[in-house]
Amino acid sequence: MLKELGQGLGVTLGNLFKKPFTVQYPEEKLEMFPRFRGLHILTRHEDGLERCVGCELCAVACPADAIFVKAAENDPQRPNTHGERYAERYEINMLRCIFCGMCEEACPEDAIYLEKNYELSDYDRDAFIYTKDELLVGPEKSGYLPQR
Amino acid sequence: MSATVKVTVDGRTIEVPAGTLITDAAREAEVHVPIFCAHSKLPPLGACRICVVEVGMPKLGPGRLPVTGADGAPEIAWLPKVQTGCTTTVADGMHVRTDSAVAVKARKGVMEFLLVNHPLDCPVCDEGGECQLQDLAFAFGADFSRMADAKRTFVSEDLGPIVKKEANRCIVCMRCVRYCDEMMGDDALTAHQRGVLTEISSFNRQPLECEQCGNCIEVCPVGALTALPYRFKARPWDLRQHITVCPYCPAGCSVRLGVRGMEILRARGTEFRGVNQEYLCVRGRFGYEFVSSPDRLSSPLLRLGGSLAPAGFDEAVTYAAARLRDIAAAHGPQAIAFLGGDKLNLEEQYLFQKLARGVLGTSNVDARTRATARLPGDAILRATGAGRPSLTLDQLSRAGEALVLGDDLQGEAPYVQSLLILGQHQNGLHLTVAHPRRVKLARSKFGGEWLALKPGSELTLVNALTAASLEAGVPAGVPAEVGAALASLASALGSPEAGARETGISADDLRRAAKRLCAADQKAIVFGRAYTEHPQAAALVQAIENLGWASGALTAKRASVMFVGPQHDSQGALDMGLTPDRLPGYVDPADAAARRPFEQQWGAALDLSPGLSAPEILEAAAEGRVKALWIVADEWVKSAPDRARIERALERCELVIVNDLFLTATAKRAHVVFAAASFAEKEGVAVNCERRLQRSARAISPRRGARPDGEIFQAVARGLGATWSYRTPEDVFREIARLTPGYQGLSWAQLLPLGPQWTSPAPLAGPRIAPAIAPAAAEAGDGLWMLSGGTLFLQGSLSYRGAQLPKLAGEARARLHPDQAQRLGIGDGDTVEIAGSGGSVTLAATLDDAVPAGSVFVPYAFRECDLNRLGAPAGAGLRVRVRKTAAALVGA
Repeated sequence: MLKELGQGLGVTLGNLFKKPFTVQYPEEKLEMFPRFRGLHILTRHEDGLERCVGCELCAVACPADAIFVKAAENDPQRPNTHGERYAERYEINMLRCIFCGMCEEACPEDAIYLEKNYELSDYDRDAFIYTKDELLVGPEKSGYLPQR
Repeated sequence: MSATVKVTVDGRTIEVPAGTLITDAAREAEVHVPIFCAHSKLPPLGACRICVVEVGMPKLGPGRLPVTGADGAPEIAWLPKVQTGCTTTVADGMHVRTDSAVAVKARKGVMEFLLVNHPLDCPVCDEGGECQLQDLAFAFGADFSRMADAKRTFVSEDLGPIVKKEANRCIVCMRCVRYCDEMMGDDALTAHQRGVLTEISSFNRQPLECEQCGNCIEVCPVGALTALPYRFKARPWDLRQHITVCPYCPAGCSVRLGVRGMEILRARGTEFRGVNQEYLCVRGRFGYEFVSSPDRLSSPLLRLGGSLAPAGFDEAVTYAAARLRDIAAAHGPQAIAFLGGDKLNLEEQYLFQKLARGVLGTSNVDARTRATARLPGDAILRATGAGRPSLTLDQLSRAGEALVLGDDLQGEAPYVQSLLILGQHQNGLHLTVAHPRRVKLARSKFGGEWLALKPGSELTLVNALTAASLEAGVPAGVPAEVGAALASLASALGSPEAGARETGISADDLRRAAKRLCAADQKAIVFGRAYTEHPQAAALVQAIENLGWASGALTAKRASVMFVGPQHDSQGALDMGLTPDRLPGYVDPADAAARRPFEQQWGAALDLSPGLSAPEILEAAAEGRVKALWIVADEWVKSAPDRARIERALERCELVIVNDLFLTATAKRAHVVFAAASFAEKEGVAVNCERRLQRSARAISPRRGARPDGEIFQAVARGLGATWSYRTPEDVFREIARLTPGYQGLSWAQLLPLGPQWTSPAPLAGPRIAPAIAPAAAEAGDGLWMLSGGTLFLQGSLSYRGAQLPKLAGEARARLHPDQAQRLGIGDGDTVEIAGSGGSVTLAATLDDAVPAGSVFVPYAFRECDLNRLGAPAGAGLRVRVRKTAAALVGA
């Protein structure tokens, strides 16, 4: 019996001196894997114009019906996108989103990606409806596409 | 050639009429053959080749006997090459294969060719999601392209305010070009260049000068033509689609409303449903915009202490009921009058007159607010065959001869006009158009006869046509008593020569027109508001009945006379007794046996005396004899024939109740305004010009604060002590179908997908043939004849509440013949004053040689132009004086 007790404590002792896996979140954060699916981003072309043309294929592909898009026609003087059409409103309801990545797969323009941000808690339900301003990357990230 | 042939499509043998195209036979056999260029309303073309199928006939051996194979089945000799199904007619014993290796390979090849230059920009194309090319590329196409070269490209164009052209997407099926020619008669589109460089555009690449109907967009199987007003608004899968009946003209087209959230984003034809299938006119396609106008009333309004203020619905109902009760008690129920209602659904019309007759006890009910003279409630019924099986719109387009009396169908019923053009192009229809103006149908390109009568001689013309018809004797197929009456009518009318002088049409032309009409196997007479709102309406409609019998358009079995009413449910209003002298189903209130079911159902003894008609109500209200008015869905200030009188009438009435969507000029003078729901916000039945009952669906819920008119009537009736408890329009319809002659036996379920035309087993009124003589006309006076009529882009007070239609319509113009204008010293664009007996209007003039000299044409329905300010027309019409007040601004 003492022998078994010793074996068991041996395992405990062995683990006691190993480097711990626990990360001290939020002071310390894990690096996500390249294919992690977190909060969406809407990307930009190299010239800073939006990639999203408002075709709504993400919305129709979404199994949770979390995406709402309303398209509009570009003002030729100040276009938002390369073509004639852009997304006037682009909203994702993050309470509905199941992070399946179908929107990303459906997008013909490489405009939407699920990025690595997973810190999505909030105090207000309305705050979970992410609008285009929140999703669209800043002009400094023009041309950025996540590597998969 | 036998009437039917047997054909086998993919192993399914069916029997179809000889002359059927393979594609139609395949549809019959429930085999899908893809189609781009073929269209049910267009002749075969065979441009796109996507419908290719393998065709074979049984092999014939010695003695022309079929050769049978080892298994006993006849051997088929397949044609060496595939055939286009949309141009090949079936033959007896023909075999068709759509799924064989040869057919599938051929179709894939065609698909590859169609996609050679197609940009495949489906994600940004408005057609994407409902595109036939997209669907077929998924179904039949290859999933890769062998084309490595650059695609040929065109510049996209805006063809006017409606049509956006993206020629890169075009597959040159020619549907748009052909539809515009065959159906619209506009020839606005053409193909430039040839071969691979073919590009559809307008002839001079300028904005389209056409009816702006947008049917080219509708029939385009790809996204080459898209609608600018709907551009990028939504994808098809965002839209809930509801099929309802267009609220404008009496053709009763089915409209498919696309709704996203609470907003109607577009209207389309229905492709396979309704009387119209894919067709819509410009009003049907873009006229829904008023529904989401921000100016809609959002609550009932009550006039308490001088000004109208928002009130709760119950408060308004209680007030209205109490005031109605007080006035009925103080002055008798005949001091109350109910007006309007031909824009309502059938059930609401029924409730409206039931409220008047059954609850309040007044028979002053009239929907025909524009009328200038009393017209018996059953006059139109008699003229259109008294409930005998009547002409359908489809039969109208297949008639041999069509006589259009007095109406510009372009403005009144564009679909009826299109069907006549279609008939002229494809079915050998001959048109005779009696109209003072050269309206679209009277243009020489439609090959018809234009009877350009002098304004004011309408009655003489119809009588002369009747006289000319009777010269050949009484037609066969009329009842015996009609035959006798016609013989005496012939002697009373005299010869057409007398009419020739007055109408300005030669007696030979009149005789020829009458002869064509009498001789045609299938014929049609179309008339509408131009005659029913004429000061001589009673005589004119009687004259049309005479002509109907004399020409054989009315027989004991069938009626080929069509009444194209002023509103989409004018026929329903007549049927439901929104006339002062007829109960629903044209029951004469003096007929005790016939009115008993109504009295039992309504629990009230009915007032037997005929009530006042709309013009009489107007007069009585102005004189203070009618104290209370309930005006429903009608801008009476603009539609009443006399502006001064209507202003006085509304001033003098103690109570004016208005149901409307907007705070109209009429509503502004009311004491109670109920906010009503629009056509898209309620369910119900509308009866179109072929007397077809069509059910329209509710597309969106009513605007907050607005209620369907039926609910308003019920609430007020209950406030007056009635025990109405209808929960749905269906409840009301059941009551209508039980009580109303002609509607008996109809059920709610029967009305979908395409409702029946109501007919009566026994005619609802006996024939009445009498010489039609105008009441002694007042002195015609001098000056120009004031011609008015419908216009294509506007109809009624709702049409100018949207954005598109007023933009297309532009501003109201007085149209004058160039010679006439020269005599008056008026140039194009000058401002003119038109003065009548009652007042004057001022507007810009346009020279137009379609208007006869000696007259001026101003369409009604323009917001800024109130023709009733000129005074009421009397006698044969209205005479006005036109003078120039300001010259056109140079460069304007």
